Amino acid sequence: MSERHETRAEDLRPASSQPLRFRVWTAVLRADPVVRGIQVVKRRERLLTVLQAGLGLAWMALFLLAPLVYILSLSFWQRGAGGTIVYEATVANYQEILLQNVDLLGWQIGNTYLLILWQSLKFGFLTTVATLALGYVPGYFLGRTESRYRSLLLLFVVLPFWVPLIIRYYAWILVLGNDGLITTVLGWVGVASNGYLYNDVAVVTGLVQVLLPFMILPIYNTVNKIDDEYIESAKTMGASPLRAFYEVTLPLSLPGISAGSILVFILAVGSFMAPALLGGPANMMVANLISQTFGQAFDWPLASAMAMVYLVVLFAIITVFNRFVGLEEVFDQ
Amino acid sequence: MSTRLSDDARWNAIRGATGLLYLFLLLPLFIVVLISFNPTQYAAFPPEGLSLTWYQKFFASERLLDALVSSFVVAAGSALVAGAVGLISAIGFVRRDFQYKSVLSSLLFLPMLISPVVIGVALTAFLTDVGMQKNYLFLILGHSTLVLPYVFVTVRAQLFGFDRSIEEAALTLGANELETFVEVTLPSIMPGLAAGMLLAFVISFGEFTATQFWVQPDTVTAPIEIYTMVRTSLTPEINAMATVLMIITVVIPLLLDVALGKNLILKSA
Repeated sequence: MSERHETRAEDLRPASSQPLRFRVWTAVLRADPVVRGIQVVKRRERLLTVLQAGLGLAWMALFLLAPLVYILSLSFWQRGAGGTIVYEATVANYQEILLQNVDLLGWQIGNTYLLILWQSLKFGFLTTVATLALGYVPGYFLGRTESRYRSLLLLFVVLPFWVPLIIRYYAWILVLGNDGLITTVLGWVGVASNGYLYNDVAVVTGLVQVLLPFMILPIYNTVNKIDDEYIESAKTMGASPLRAFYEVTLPLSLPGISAGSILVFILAVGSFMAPALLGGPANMMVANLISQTFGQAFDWPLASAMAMVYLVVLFAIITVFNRFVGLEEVFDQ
Repeated sequence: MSTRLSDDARWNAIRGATGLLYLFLLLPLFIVVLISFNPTQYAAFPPEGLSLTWYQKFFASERLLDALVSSFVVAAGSALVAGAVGLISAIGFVRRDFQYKSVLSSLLFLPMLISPVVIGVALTAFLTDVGMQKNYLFLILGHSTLVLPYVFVTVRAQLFGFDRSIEEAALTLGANELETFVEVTLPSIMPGLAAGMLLAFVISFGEFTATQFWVQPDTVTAPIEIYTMVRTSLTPEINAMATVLMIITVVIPLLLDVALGKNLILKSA
């Protein structure tokens, strides 16, 4: 027993302090062509790993991380006259967005940055709840149906994703706008209106329609994987269809629900186009505010600080979510 | 109450609700196509006639056609770049083991999660600071970053289901590694790669939010023109242009898909 311990301790010592027999054997093994071949293969494997996986990682480091680090440093500088940048470290930008009202192009927005950030989270939450409420039944249907048109039906859920986002939001202007479909149809039954655009409901409606496939598909995936026998045996043992659903199907589809919810929430919070096309000035979201500050007010440092606060909130949400469901699983759905 | 419903009735209710949802998903797009044939300046339900007026106006506009060409150049370039980078890194991530693999792979998904406004702003500030001009190369680099996750995820899914013994068979039969890759590996993961690249093309073609920070007057893309028209004049030319865009990003890929019988579009989901 004690002898084996000694040998182990010897193994851990650097080669030069090991007994001679070890050194001789190591040398013999290294000279052996098979062992050397294995080592060459291993070195080659390592090199290929670095080259292959490293290519995508290097791309992201160069075109995503480096730019983000760059605006992190930008956020601690300040805007000089005419959109120039004064390279003097300051936390003034963070003070401005976290403590004061926002003044853009002389137009005082009643809300501070934080209120707009809060509004984005609120829209994100409403969109998530609405997509879940509207998306569960179709996801369930697609998962359980035995129709031979199932792949065609699935295709119609995926296809809107291929339509440019700008067209999908613009389409709602034709539905909700002044001469839009709803105004016309309501006009036939004698209800006059000026359209239903430029408010909270229009923004969330657009977001819900655009993001629904992200909820339906993961739910479909999990429901589709549920073994029929689980549900049948629940029913055989006397559960009503509704009870069988609550006790078997619903819990087993939870991974799909959580994957869909986190994706919809994150994508909704970062939306630019829904408020830009369907909302009024009061329905701005954080992406719109960053865009205006950067592109119209030319205050790059302030816009960078706004982006940083948004990213901190985003990563906080992702981290919290990661504790319950791995992000990897979301993308495997 | 629900226990009194028969199974059939319950299932019909579910089917009905699903049908309504499809209406909600697809009706607005159908209306864009429908109104594009309406001859009048203002939208009308039902359309006051069928005419190609707005298509003629669209195809007569050099500015809008230029935008379409720009979109095509950028989308094709990004699909190729993201296709190559996505394919190689997916192979690295699926076939090799290394530390922090799952954390590192989420780095490749990041562009899907961060608001495109932030990516647009950050890349603009960074690349202009290192002295780069806003040209097609700028757009292709930016778009490739945005669409890389889609290629990565579809190729990765295809590689998970790949049987490596056919590679070993090829090697045993005397093919070298390059031959094995080109003649055995690549053909069998082609559906995933093609689906990912097609999706990359389509997303790049329609990308607006980050692109608005990256264009110059001579590289304006189709979605940028649509946004400008929506914000300024709301002319019916938008409907014609939108329909043409949908033909490029949906109808043509769909026809290709049916013709090749590969189900690429479903694979991209």
